[in-house]
Amino acid sequence: MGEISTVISDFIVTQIMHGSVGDKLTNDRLLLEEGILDSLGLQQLITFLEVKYNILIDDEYLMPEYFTSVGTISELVQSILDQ
Amino acid sequence: MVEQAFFFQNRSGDHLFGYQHIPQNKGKTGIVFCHPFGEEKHRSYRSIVEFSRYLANNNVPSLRFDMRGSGDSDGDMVEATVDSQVEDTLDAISLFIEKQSLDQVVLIGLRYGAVIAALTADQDTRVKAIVLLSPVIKGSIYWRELLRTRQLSSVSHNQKATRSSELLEELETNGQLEIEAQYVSQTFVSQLQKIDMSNHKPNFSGDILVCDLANDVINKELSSKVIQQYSGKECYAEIYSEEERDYWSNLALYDQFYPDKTFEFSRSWLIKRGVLN
Repeated sequence: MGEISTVISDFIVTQIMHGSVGDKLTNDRLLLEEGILDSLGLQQLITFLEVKYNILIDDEYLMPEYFTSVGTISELVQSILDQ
Repeated sequence: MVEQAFFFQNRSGDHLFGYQHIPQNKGKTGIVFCHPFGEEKHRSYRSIVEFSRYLANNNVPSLRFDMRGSGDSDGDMVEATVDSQVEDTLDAISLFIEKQSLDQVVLIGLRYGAVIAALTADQDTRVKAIVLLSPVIKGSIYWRELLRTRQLSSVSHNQKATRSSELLEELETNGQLEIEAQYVSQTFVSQLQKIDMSNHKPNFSGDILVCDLANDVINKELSSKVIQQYSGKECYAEIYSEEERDYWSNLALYDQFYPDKTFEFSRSWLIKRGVLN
């Protein structure tokens, strides 16, 4: 799970927040509430995760609770990988 | 350099908004930009302005314009189709050639605008080259992305997303669906889904450059298929991959980052190909 969190955090920091590799995003930072992820940002992130982990994030997972923070997103990815 | 905003009429009588960047010592080739769809159009706006100014500073005139139902132009997006946007681009080319006494044009299209650029080039021999920036290649994939953006808009506002099957039912029942705060028609969606640039049989004789982001592995693979479709006696096709940022989708980059390397490579490639002086 730690590795998935790091991958997600790095992607959001470098590709969405326009930060530098090495900048950290804590696992509990509220991504939707703080406006870090908007619809296009979510789209980028989901596409990236689908390619990176060869998974399909289906309609049933398109709920805010899965995308609240790096922690909840990595739990979602892990649970899809475990299926 | 003179920068001038104006309106011109398309063949349907709609007033389209145009903005031209004219250098003092211009050549006989002009650039016409084809804009992306929806939010990507807004988010890339500043980069395309910068691209136009970069070209004008290097003695290349350019025209940016809004297709019907977009930006400052007449009409609603729900009335627009892929075909009508190609028509608008053909009318913009005619207008620009006449207004600036040009011999030929290059079309530069970004994302969905790249599709419009390629389809327009098939119909107009005055187009000598096309530059496709991170092009949408498969309309069906792009439509799924647009549909998902609509779903994710709900998620980003802390609401559960409507299932895609329900959205498609709404499109079929009402003949239109809201995507990124504008309505698209069933006709537009049907035409969009049929687009497959990786399988397109071009009716174009000229040069084509496809520019991709280095980290966009999916598009890179499809782009090489586009190049194969265009390569042959009638066309010279080349692919360019650069470590740029996704300036058309990332709000954090607006006015903070311009794809300078892509600007420079595109211009020098057009010079190398003899299209620009």
